[in-house]
Parts: sequence; structure tokens; C-alpha cells
Amino acid sequence: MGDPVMKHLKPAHFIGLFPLSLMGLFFLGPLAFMIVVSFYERDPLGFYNVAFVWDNYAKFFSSFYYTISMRSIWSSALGAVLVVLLAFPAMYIITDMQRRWQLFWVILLLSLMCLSEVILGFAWLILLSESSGIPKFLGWVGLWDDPRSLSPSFAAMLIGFITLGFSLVALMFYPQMAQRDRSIEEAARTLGTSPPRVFTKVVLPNYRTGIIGAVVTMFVYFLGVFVMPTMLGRPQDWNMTVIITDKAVGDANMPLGAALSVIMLLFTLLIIGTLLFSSRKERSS
Amino acid sequence: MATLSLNNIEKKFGTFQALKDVSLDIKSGEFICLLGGSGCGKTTLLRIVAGLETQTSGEMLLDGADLSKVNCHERNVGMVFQSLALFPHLNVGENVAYGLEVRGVAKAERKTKAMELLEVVGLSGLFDRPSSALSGGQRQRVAIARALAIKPELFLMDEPFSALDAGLREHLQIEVKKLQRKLGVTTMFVTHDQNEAMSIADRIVILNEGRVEQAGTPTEVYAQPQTRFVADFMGTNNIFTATVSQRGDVSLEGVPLGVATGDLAKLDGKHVIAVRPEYLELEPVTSSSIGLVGTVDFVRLLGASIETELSVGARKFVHTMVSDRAPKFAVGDQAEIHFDLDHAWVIPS
Repeated sequence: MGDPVMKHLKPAHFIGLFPLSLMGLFFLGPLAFMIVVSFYERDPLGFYNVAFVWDNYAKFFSSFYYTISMRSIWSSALGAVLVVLLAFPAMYIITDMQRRWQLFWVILLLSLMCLSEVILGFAWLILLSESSGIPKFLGWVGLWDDPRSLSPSFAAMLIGFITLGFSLVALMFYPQMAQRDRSIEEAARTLGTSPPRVFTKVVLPNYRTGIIGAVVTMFVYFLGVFVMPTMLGRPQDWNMTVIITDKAVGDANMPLGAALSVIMLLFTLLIIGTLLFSSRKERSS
Repeated sequence: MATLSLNNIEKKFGTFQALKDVSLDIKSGEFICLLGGSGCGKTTLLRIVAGLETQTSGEMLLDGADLSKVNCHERNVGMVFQSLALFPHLNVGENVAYGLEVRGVAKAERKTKAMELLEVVGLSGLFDRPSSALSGGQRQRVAIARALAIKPELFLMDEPFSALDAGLREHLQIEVKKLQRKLGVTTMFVTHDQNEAMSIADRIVILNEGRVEQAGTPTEVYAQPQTRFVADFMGTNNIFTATVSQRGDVSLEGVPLGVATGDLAKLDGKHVIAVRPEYLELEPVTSSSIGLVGTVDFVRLLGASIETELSVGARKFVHTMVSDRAPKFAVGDQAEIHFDLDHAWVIPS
């Protein structure tokens, strides 16, 4: 007589253990460790001392961390909106091209994704530099009397964000857009909609869920980038990830770094949850 | 209501010529069916009229004015697409009222008009339903209502019933025909189904490889096909080259078929003739049989009729009879085929 629960379990049920174990190994385990460490005390001479203190969380509520949090949210949100605003119409245009050109663009976008953040950051550093980049060119053609380096700056950091996210967002939309029913847009035209209005009245509303999804994904992604803010942004543009790294690695304050990470994670989950809840509520109404 | 003249329309996609010298006059309020197989150019022609494609050459006049110079969104053409193309982000009422909204009609007025149209197509009460929550037939009606809401000068339909089951398709064919008659809108309907074309069209235009093979009333194209392709497409399966002697005897490759009557009696020599399956008769083979003898390959019941397919060497013949009589022949039987030559149609080209 076997266990009655075990009797009902089929091999298919055990397949679910595979993703669960991957989640545990790569995400839940490190997360649990980070949560535990966030309650430890910093040891100025070592790494940390085992304890249970709220001090690390309390530090977040100082104006310094609050400002950085708000700045991180602002730069990530702005970067996310900008990258989707650029990548969505770009992919819409690409999917209307001939098959071979579509393939060319997809390969190009995939190649861009293969480039590391550091290489892209350096490329922009050079392009925005006074001595060899865009400012020098603008000075040379006479469009800028007093060319100066355009980085580090908030705008340069946003350019870096867009470079990072563009391929990702564009490729996110590719399968859906390439297979879209074009007769929906044609129907709008026969009903009296001019081509630019077809885009705003029919295409955008149809991809609303996908667009929101892409913005949220990019927002979360940009919250966590490290290289672009440090390479292209000014210290006052740095996001929480840079500060966390600075605290955890630079100041050897792992408990504070862990606590700030947990807060950022909760914050991100709160934003995603709110968006999901509001979109569900809207769908049901 | 509007008249449409298509003069020498040609359309090329790269090296492929989709339409070749298509000319057609469509009267105001007429219901035209563009009929043909896949790739014959019927949808291309419809899309050119809608403004979704541009002809390579040729002239298109709507009430005498050049339609080619008018942008698609300014043509006032209502079109029902094969995929129906309902806007997924809008509900039923918003879909129907879309064209009115684009034209700046006030919200209250467009709601009233959309509700009126939904009542006409039998969907009153579904105004607020999401378009994704409709059945195939309901979606069809919404698409029709949406196209008619703008009071189009031309009403275009591209195989709108192809995805529906046979019963619903027939029902909607009748409804569309009634609606079109009531509104009097000039209509072009694309289909590959000759039965559908026969049942709803005032005039059928048969296209083949981008050319108009024949244009005429359903009776004309059915009973008097002008080309072998038309005869074949309209279901006249018994097409062959018969020899008419000067004495008036008709034969097929030396086998006597009978004495020429009707149109055949005026001819002699070799002619391609078509005899519809209902004008064939099958008799059991006897020792005195001298006519065409075929072997029964297939017998099938088609509701009101029984169809028998026979082969004579490489040739195929099809015979139909009303189904209230039991079939005389089974697969493998031999039968002598008699042709009612009075109903034989001589294909001119």
C-alpha cells in the first residue's frame, strides 16, 4: 500500500520540479541569502557580523537614499518610455519591408545584443567626446562654435540606456508584428482613416498590452544597469544600483547593500503589481 | 449608388502580371461577383478598386470621375475582408461606428446609426459586446454593418463567407443579397465558389490568369459558357471535341453519339461541345449497344441528386440524376452513355 498522494502523482507532475529547481538555484537561493545578510551588522574590519538589526533598512529613509531612489525611478522610467517610443515604430516599419530586409534588420539587432555593455559604453564615450566624436564633427562643419564633450551627462546616460534596450524591445515586438493581420489596418483605411491616423487609432491601441509590458520590462532592466550610468552619467545621475555596488564593494558594507537591494526589489514588485492590477481591472471592466 | 467603369486595367507585381487588360462596366446598384480560382486576380482587382493597390495601367471611373486619383481613405468604399478585420480593441458598437467617428459624426448620432445597422443585420442588443466574444456568423454581420455604416458608394466583399460552415454561408448569402437590394448599393463580391456566385450575383465575371474569361448573368455563364475554362469552372464536366458530319451525325473519335439537333445541327466539322451532367443518360450495355461505353468509377449522393463518374479510356464523364430514384449502376459496372445533343453547347473559342 503506497502513499495515496504519491499514487496520483504522474511523471508529468515531476517535470514542474525542473523550473522550480532552476528558480531556486539561480534566484530564490541568492535572494534568501541577501535577505538574511540585510539584517546583519557591518564589520568594519571584515565582511559582516551575524545579527538581527533593522539599521540597514532605517538608513534607506535618509534623504540621500530617497533622492537616489527617486532619481533611479525617473531615469529608468524615462529611458524605458524613450526606448519603446523609438523601437516600436522602428519595428513597425521593419516588418513592412520585404522579407530579406526584415531578415537583415533582425540579424543586425541580434548582433547589437551580442555587444557587451562596456563596449557600447566606450563607443558612446568616444562618440560624445570633445576630441574625436560628434562635438568635434559639429565644430568641424561649423554647426557648433565651441564644441565640448557631451558626456558625462544625464542625456548621455539616457542614450546609453536606449542603446542597451533598443534591440531588446524591437525584437520583443518582431514576432507579433511580422504576423499581424494587416487587413485590420487596411480596413481602417477603407473606412476613412489616413495612414498616420491608422498608426495612432488602430496599431497603437492593438499593441497596448505589449507596449505596457515592454515599458515595464525596460524600466526594471534600467533600474539594474550599472555600466552605462558610471561610464556616461555624472555622479548625480547615478542610480541605486551604482550606489548599492559602491556600498557593498567600495565600502565593504554588504548588509547595507543587501538591504538597499531588498528595498529596490520590493519597490519594483510594487510597481509591476500595480500595473498588472490596473490592467486586469481595466480588462474586466 | 454609383456606376464603375474599369478600362484596360493591368497590374504587375515585379515580373508577375496579375491582371491583364481587364475592362468592366458595373451599373449602379448592380451586384457583381468576381469568380475564379486561386491567383486569378480577383482579389487584386477588388483591392485596386478599394485603393489598397494601384493599377500598373488602365483607367478606373466612378460616376465618370477618375477614381485612381483618390486616396484609399477618401474613396468612400465599404469593404468586408476575408479575415473580417474587426478591430480587436473595440467592441461591436464601436466597430460599426468607427467609420462615422473618423468622419466626425457626433457620438450620440453614431451610436444611433450603429444600433440601427446592428438591428438590420440581426445583432441588436450586442452593441457593448467585445468583438472577440462573437461567433463566426456574428463577426461576419458586424463586418458587413461596419462597411455599410459609412453609406459607401461601392460595397466590396472579399470571400467573406469562406470560413463559415455551409448552412450559415447559405443563410448569409441570402441575407446579404436582400440587404444589398434594399440599400441599392453597387457591390463587388469576390468568391471562388461558383454556387455562391450563382446564388447571389446579378452578373458573374469569371477571371482566369488575370483576364476576364466571360461576364454575364448567372444563367448565361452557366448555360452558355464562352470558353472551355468557363464551362469547366461552372461545373460542365462533359467537354469534348465532337465531329459533326455533313449528314448531321455526331461522333466522338469515331464512336457515334447521335444525330445533331439544336445548335449542333447548323454546324459541321470538329467542335468543342459541352453537355451538362443532367443531360446525360446511362443505359445498361447490351449486345446491340453501338454508343459510347464507359466504366463507372464513382457514385455519390449529393442530397437532391446522385452523381455518377464514368471513364472512357482517359476521358471522364459525369452524369447526374435526381436522387429519389435508386442508382442503376455501381462502381465497376459498364454503361452506355447517351447525350441529349439538343442541350449540347458549342463553345465558341
